[in-house]
Amino acid sequence: MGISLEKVSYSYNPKKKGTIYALKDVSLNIDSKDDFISIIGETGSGKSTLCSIFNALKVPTSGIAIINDIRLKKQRKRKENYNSIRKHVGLVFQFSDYQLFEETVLKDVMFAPLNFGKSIDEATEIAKHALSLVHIDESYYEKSPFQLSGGEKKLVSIAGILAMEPDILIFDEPTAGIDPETKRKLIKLFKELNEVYHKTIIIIVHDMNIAYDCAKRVLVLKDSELIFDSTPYDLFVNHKEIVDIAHIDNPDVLRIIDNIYEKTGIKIDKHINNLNMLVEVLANE
Amino acid sequence: MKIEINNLKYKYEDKSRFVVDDISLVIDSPSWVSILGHNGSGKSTLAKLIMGILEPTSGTILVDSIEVKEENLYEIRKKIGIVYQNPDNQFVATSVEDDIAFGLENLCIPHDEMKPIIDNVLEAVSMTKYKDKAPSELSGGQKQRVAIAGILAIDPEVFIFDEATSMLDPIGRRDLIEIAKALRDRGKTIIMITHNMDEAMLSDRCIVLKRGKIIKDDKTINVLTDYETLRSTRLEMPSDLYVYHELKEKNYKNKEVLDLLWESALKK
Repeated sequence: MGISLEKVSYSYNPKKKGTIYALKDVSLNIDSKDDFISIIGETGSGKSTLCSIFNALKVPTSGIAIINDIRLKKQRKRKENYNSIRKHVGLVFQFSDYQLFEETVLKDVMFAPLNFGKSIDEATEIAKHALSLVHIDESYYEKSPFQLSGGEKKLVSIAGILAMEPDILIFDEPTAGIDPETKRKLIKLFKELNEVYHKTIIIIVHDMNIAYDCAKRVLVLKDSELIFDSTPYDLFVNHKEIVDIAHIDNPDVLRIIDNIYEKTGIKIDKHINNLNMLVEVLANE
Repeated sequence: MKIEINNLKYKYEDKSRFVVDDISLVIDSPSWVSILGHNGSGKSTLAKLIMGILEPTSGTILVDSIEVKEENLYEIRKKIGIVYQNPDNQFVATSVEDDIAFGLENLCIPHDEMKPIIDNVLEAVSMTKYKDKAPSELSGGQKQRVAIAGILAIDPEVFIFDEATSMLDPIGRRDLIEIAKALRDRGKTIIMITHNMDEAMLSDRCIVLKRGKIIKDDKTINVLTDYETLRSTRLEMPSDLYVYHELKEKNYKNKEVLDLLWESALKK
């Protein structure tokens, strides 16, 4: 169970002069339960490639990747083994909301369990449960995905992955281009899936407010290498040099805390994840 | 120059509701305007109507006194450029350089004049070293920078950014904002459709849409401190203003801290 990478690299165009690495010598372990990880780094730093390996969509060109106790290998004959990885590690693509294709919401979410050999009754049960996790109620079951708002489509597409009953869920830029209200709903959902259902959540984000609010662990990628693996607090409070070289923004809450300290001398503990907590602390000062 | 919109209405053929529902407004140049609103509020449809990509059900749009319609599109496109959210829908050629050249060819710019323009605009979006790359070798953020370079090459009066930063990483976003500021300093008009309130803070004026109608059109600071409007349109305040507002609600008294939050909100 879980994900284990040892010196994993992924390169492409290896026949051309000068191999280009999308990922270089990455080693890490991820538990299949309870963790909440943010992967951060600038465009082209290797974030999406890393997640493709987690999901067995890409196979390392060197190094050892073991996912759900299966070692990824090139040109593996028995593809069904990778299906078990995809059940264990669900990947929600960035534009997952454009990938709904069935006639109704319920059918769309039933697609994966049916594909994995469940009976119609079982698939219906699983799909209903998955939709309840994302707070999409019965009144939506028979609607066409095209009748939904952008935010609702996003939630249904997430239910589609949840219906595979994964232990680990990866979200590639889930909040990019999403309106503030849906963003709030998604953050709440991530926390719920993690805290109540004990799933390991992995999110690729550019929004450091979300990383600082939600994650227990951050992985920072820079030029295809993993340069930092620790808590968000450790990154943003103790390792500003990493924040600088990886060109990461500071979370707003820390920027405001620093600003207040600098100008007024009021010192606020930085183990505060979001603006609401900051308001509470200041108001009770 | 100005953009003048009169009683503009638009509905998609199969729908009964107007996505843009009787909008009238004038945008003078130069200015920096944000268009805000929830998904489905009509923001992007409005942008498509201004660009002549969609045809109004009724009403008119005048750009520099030229009506936006099929036969005038060539003229309109020289005056307004648009950068969309999804960079994959904007790349037409097989290399970065050719993609920008394509737009210039459409304007009948001679080949020997293209090179300095292309170099210039790629420099402006920090993409010089990717000049010969194919779109498949670029990430989403990099493609977006090329799209912006393509518009810069045509050098229109008005730049519309339709959630153009929402897929960029922090650096890409900052670069784009710097480009937008530089454009403003050169007297260009920026129309920014965005969900990002820090970006909205940069504008002089905010127009808030809800179900196809304008529900607020005012100076930016007046809009972003209007809690009721933001709540009813499900938008959020910029972080500093949010903390300021919440503390005020709780009767927080430390004036030094409140002033500080207010100032740093405005400084952006």
